[in-house]
Order: sequence, then C-alpha cells, then structure tokens
Amino acid sequence: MSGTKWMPVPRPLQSLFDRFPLVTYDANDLPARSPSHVHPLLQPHTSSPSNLPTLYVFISEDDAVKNAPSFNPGCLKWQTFLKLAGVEFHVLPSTNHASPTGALPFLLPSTATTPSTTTNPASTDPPSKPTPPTEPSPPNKPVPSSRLYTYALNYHTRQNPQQPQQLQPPASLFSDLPRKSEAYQSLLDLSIRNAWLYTLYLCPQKTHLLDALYVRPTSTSTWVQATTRHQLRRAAETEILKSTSTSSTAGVVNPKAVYREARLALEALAIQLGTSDSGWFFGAEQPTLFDASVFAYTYLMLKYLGGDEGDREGSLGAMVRNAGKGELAAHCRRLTEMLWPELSSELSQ
Amino acid sequence: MAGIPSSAGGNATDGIGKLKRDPDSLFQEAHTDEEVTKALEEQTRQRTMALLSEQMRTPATINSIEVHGAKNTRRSLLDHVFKPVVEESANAGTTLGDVLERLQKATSKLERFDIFKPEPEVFISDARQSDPQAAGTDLNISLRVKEKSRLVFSAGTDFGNAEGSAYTNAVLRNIFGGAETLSVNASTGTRTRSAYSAIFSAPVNGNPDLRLGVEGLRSSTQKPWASHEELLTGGNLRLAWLSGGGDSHSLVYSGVWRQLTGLAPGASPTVRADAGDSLKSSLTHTFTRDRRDNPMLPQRGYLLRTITELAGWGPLKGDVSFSKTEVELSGARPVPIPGVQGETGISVGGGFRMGLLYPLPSGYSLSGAAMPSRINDRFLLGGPTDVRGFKLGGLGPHDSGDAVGGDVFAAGSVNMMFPLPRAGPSSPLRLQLFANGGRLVALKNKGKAKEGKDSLAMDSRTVMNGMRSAVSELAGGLPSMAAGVGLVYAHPVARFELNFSLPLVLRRGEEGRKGLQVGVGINFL
Repeated sequence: MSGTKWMPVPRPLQSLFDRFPLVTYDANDLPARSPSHVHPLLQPHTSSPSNLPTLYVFISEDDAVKNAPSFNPGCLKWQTFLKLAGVEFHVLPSTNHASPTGALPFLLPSTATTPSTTTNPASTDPPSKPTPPTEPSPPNKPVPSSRLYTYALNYHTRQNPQQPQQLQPPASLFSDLPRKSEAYQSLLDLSIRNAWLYTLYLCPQKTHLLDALYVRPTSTSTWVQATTRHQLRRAAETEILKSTSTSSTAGVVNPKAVYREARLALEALAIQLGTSDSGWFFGAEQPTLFDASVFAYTYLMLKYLGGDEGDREGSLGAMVRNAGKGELAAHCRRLTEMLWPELSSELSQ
Repeated sequence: MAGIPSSAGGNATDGIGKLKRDPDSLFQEAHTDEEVTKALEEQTRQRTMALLSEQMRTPATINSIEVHGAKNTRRSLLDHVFKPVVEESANAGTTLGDVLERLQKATSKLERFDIFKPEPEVFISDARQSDPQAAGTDLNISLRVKEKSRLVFSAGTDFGNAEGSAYTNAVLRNIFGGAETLSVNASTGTRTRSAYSAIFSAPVNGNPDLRLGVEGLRSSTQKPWASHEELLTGGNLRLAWLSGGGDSHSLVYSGVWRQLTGLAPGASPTVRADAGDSLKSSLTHTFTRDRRDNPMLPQRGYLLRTITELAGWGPLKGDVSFSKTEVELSGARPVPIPGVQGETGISVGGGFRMGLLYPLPSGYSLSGAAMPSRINDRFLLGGPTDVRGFKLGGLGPHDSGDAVGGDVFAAGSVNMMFPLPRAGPSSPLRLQLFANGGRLVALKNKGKAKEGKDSLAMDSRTVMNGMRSAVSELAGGLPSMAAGVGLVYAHPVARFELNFSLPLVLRRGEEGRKGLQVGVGINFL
C-alpha cells in the first residue's frame, strides 16, 4: 500500500479527495537538536545555518563554530580547498555514519538552489531572499568529497560574473597540474598518509591523542569507547598493510619502514617546493588542490605531532620542519596566514 | 424420589383428556417435557452437591505426596511448590475440601512454570493401605506430570506493529531443573534487517510469578520514515512479576549501544546531526492491566498500561539522560439493541495514549544543563496501527520529509464495530467506523543563544519552560485528525485492518493518507 497509483483515481473521487484535509495548520516546529531549528523567518537577526552550505567534518564543536581547521587530513584538505575557492560554508562536527559514502567530509548544499548572496556568515543582514516557510524545499543531495572539486568549480563560475567584494578565487586554482604531480600525490596518499595513520592510531604513545580526537566524542561509555578504539586501530592497520609491501612483514606494520618512507616523501616534497618560484607547488600562481592536500598533513603534523621527545623515530612534526630547508613548514605557515590568520601565531614557534 | 411436582398443574384444562390416555404415553410426555427435565437435572445436581459438600467436610490430611514423571526437575523446585501443601500448620484439622483446594493451587502453580504439560493426573488413596501407622484421615497423594520437551525449535512468520518478519527460535526449557529457560531467536523482516537475541530467565525462589531474566540482543532496523538505519547492541536485566488480579509488572535495566547509520541520500539535517553512536543506560518499569475479553477484538473490558523510563541520570550514566513516561488506556463496551437477546456483536471502543519525554541533566544534578532528546529517543505518532489515516510517523515535526519525532504527544481514537450481516457476532470479522487524532510536539530551545560546545545544552529553567509550552501546544488548535471506515479481522495471532480514511486536520509537513490503508498488528490504538 505504498504511494504508487495502480489506476487513475476517478474524477469525482479525486475532487472529493482534494477537499481533504479540511483544515491545515502551520508546520510543527523542529526539535531542539535539529540544526535547522532556528528558522530564518522566526529569527531574522541570526544567520541561519540553512542558508549556507554545510561541510560535515571531524572537528570539535568549539572549533566548528570558528570554522577552524578539522583534525582529519581528508577533511582538512577539502575544507582548505573550499576556502581557497572562496566558497562560503558552515562547518559541522559529524561522524562517518552521517555520510552518504561512509566517510567524511561531505557537503550539504544550502536549501536555496543558488549560492547564498550573503557574503559574510557573521553578517547581521537579514537573508536577502528568505524562502517562505510554507514551501518546504526538497532535501538537497549531499555532495561527497569525490565531487567537491566540481562543486567548487561550479560555484566559482557562478560567482565570477557577480564580482563579489570577497577574495576572488583565482582561476589558476582550477588549472591543470603537471603530469609529475601525480607521482607526488601518490607520495602523499601512501607514504605520508601511512605515517600519519601509524602515529595517530597504532603508536601506543599517541593513544591519548586518538582518544581525544576520535574516541571520546563518540560516547561517554568506556565500552563503546574501547570498541571504537579497537575498530579504528584495526581499520588503520588494514589501510597501512594494504598499501605497503616493503614496510610490512607477514601482516605486521614495521614502524621503522613507515617512518623512513615518510621522511623520504617529505624530503621529496620539500625539494619540489624549493624549485618553485611562486612558493606554491609546481610553480602555480596561487595555491591549488595539491597545496591543500600537502597542507592537510603538514598542518596537522606540526600541530599535533610537533615535538614528542619520547618518539625514537623522531616526530612527524620534526620531520616536516626539517625537510629540505624548511620549505614545507614555511608553506604551511603561508597557507595558515592566508586562510586562518587568527591561527598563524599557533604555528610560529 | 420426590414426585414430579407442579409441572403438570399448568395443563389442568386437558386433565380429562389425559386421564383417558394410557399411562405409557403419559410417562413419555412427562419425561420429554422440558420443564420436567430441567427440574430433574437440578435435583440431581443438588444431590451431587450435597453429597460432595458432605464429602468435602470429611476430615482429611495429607500423609505423603509423590510426584512422578518430573525426571529433569530439581527437588528444590518441587519443594517450593508442595511445601505449603504439607506444612504442619496447614495440614492439621483440615477437610478434604481444603486438601483439594491446596492441591489445586499447587498444580496450577506447577503449570505456570511452563515446563509440564497441563492437567497432571492426580491419584488420592487412603494412607492406611500402605502405612499401618497412618491416621484415619491421612491420604496419600500421587501426581503424575509430563514434562514438556526440553528443546523446541520453531520457525515461522510474525507480525509486529506494521512489520512482518520471519524468525527461527530455539527454546531450551528447564535447563538446570529449576524451570530455567534459554530462548535464542534470530529473525529478519520487512524492516528489521536482522535481529538476534538470547534470553535466559529463571523463576526467583521457586515462584513462577516472579521471573528474573537476562537478555543479549543485536539488531539492525531500517527506519525509512526518517531515512536511516539503527543498529542496536546491548543487553538487559528483567524482573517480571504478576500482582493480584493478573496485573503484570516488569522492571528492566537495559544498556544499549545505538548506532544511527546508513543514511539515505535525502536524509534531513536533523537526522544527519543525530547520526553516530550513543549509549542508553536506562531503568524501565512497565505496568499492564488487561481486562479485555479479547485482546485482538475487545468487546468489553479495558487495558491500562504505563511505561516509565529513567535514562542516564545518576548512577545510570550513558550518553542520553531523560525521563520518559507513556500512558495507554483503551476500552470497549458492547451496545445492546432493544429486543435482541444475547451478544449483538456491536461495540463502541476508545483509546487514549499520551507520553512525555523530559530531558534531565546527566550525573546527580537536578538543575544542571540538559541535552535535548535525540531522534531515537523521541516519540513517533501515526501509522495504520496507531493514528490511522496517517503514514508511519506521519504526525509531528518533519524535516525535509523525515519524521523526526517529538517530545510530548497525546492521541485518541473512538470506534464503533458492527458484525458483518452474514457472518454474525461470533465471527472475528467486524466493520468499523473510526475517528482518531493526535498531536506530537517537539521541545524547543527558546533560550538558544550560546554557541560552541554547549550550544545545545538547556538549563533546567529553559527545559521547564520549553516543556510547559510544548504541553500547552498540544491543545493549540484542533489535533491532527483522520476518520474512516474499514474491515477488521481478528486472527488469534494478529489483527488485520483494511481501512478507507481521509485526513480531516493536518499540520504542514505531516503525512496523511487518503484512501486505503492496511494495518497488521497486535496492539491498536
């Protein structure tokens, strides 16, 4: 007895049906936990979360309000890229369960089909074109990370003719990268990612960090936390073993090999960066998606894995700082100043 | 034998004619006369009663009780049952009536353990036959019971409220000889993708009306009305008992890890925000008083059920903290038609349910900040077995087509049942006229100004004010309503309804159903 019509409803019956319901009241208000709880029309002085696209990432609630960087490299990459592309968006803390692909990040476009014309999320102006509450717009399909590049590109082309006063995203952001970038990308996706995964998830000295970032936010229950921690570790281990043949022997992760490869990869990236005149990768005029990908790791390594003395292999943060002539750390600082000026002091030690 | 009395007196006019008839036919007539037969029967009954009551008053005591056939049952369990029968204090100066009554109590208690087949054979003999030292009043009692099979496998289909499922079930009865039961269940259904549970329960202190149980469960249920899937892993500890008059109580502690996952592409922001893990640790008391003549098709009687749940507060911990109360009252009464004797099969019925979810601060505080409810804790309202004429979860707050539930609800229904013209009142078929409606309202956070970590938290005053306005909103305007007619078929396992209904009052976003709706369930509003 679903909504499918087996046969057309006869006209007199249809006209009878159309008279019902006899009374229709306004919609019920949404529960307090609902993000769309505050309706733009009810509280016009606050900027409603629903008129801006929302990027769901791993982040603490405090940081989400400030649109601070996510602590997950995959999320930070796209958060950085969208900011580079000039997309205005909110950040919401979330979990993989919320994602259509099973992994964060993903973006939920604004309820208005056209990108919001409000330029500043903190703007006190009322929304320029509030949609009446009587017409609930169809739910927007979430944009998974695999389509965020296209989303940003479309956003860019739509915004371009209007010339908003905000920072104009450069066209070079979307220009094609040289062939060799693929080789460097694989360094990031394999060697550097493995080192990050190993350190955060498997390294026993970093359990407190893993707990603080990924385990404790799931639940206050120690049972749930222990299960989650175990699952995360198993998943990280599988990921590392999947991509390494040399650094693993008989299904066991070899940390020395993981760190050796990471050091080599960081070194190679630093050298590549050193050959660029612009200070961005591959001599691009403006930072590109590749810069965002590198930044996602270097920023987090410098912030969370900066100087753990007890680490025999030398911390990943120290590796970033010491790679080449310090090009990676400088690159990271530049991007931070550009996108999160309020945070640049954090990294300047 | 007393003579056949007054019955012939009514036929005085043809007395003369009677005299002329031969005695044989008169005798025949006297015996076929209904009134005569009745009088005779009554007399026989009274005589038997008198004889019996005389018998019952004869002094009798129990010398011994033997239970045969309880091969796998522990002695201690039987002791619990038969001790009261042979106790010195109870077994002195008693009559046969007392003995039989105590015996009857004991056997019915034995039956409630559900390990023996009903109606055991009882033999009573004079104790002096076997024991020369026995007193004249002593009786030997011997019971022959048959144990039910200890391992039962079953498979079949099941109807819950608006869900059909297939299950396999294994029950191990009387595992340690103390009427302990282990039931292992696996099922899959239209909405429940998979569910596994194992329940171990045992009577406490040899009392079949007081059972303690432990359950472990794991399930995965699709909830298309809110675009997600819920995985549950957990367990509970249940104490269930019967109080006088057949009222049942249960007190359950449960700890469940809930995972809200597998979101549909079009899931609303409300559902996305609640995706992820939460642990509910709660204590629930359920009281049921069922005085209906037939739960599937009540003609008279009433049902009262209250459910009270406390989650997360104090030592319970967990991720959610609230108190949740639900009351259900329904009843029916037959409608007599002047001039028609006996049951007409026509009845009027009504039902009322209400519930309230009150967010509590976690820990031992009473005035601290409380987190508003999650989607898996909130009430849903509407559906073919609930408020008919609405889709499942059709009432209450909706976000982008998702039924996101509410914190306060009230719903009621009235119906009138008529037997079908040719089927008659004894058939399980009825024609029903119904009207039902309800309101489901969410708690709003009016003081929402803070940002950051505790942006969602509400202090106790805000919660109180929010609850108050939510409750008063229940009465704001007409409730969302639908009315219709339908067919009801009361199968012993489940009740089936086919209704045609139209929504009368709606809120925007609420999902009514115009036209036909099928309901299958065991518990209807």
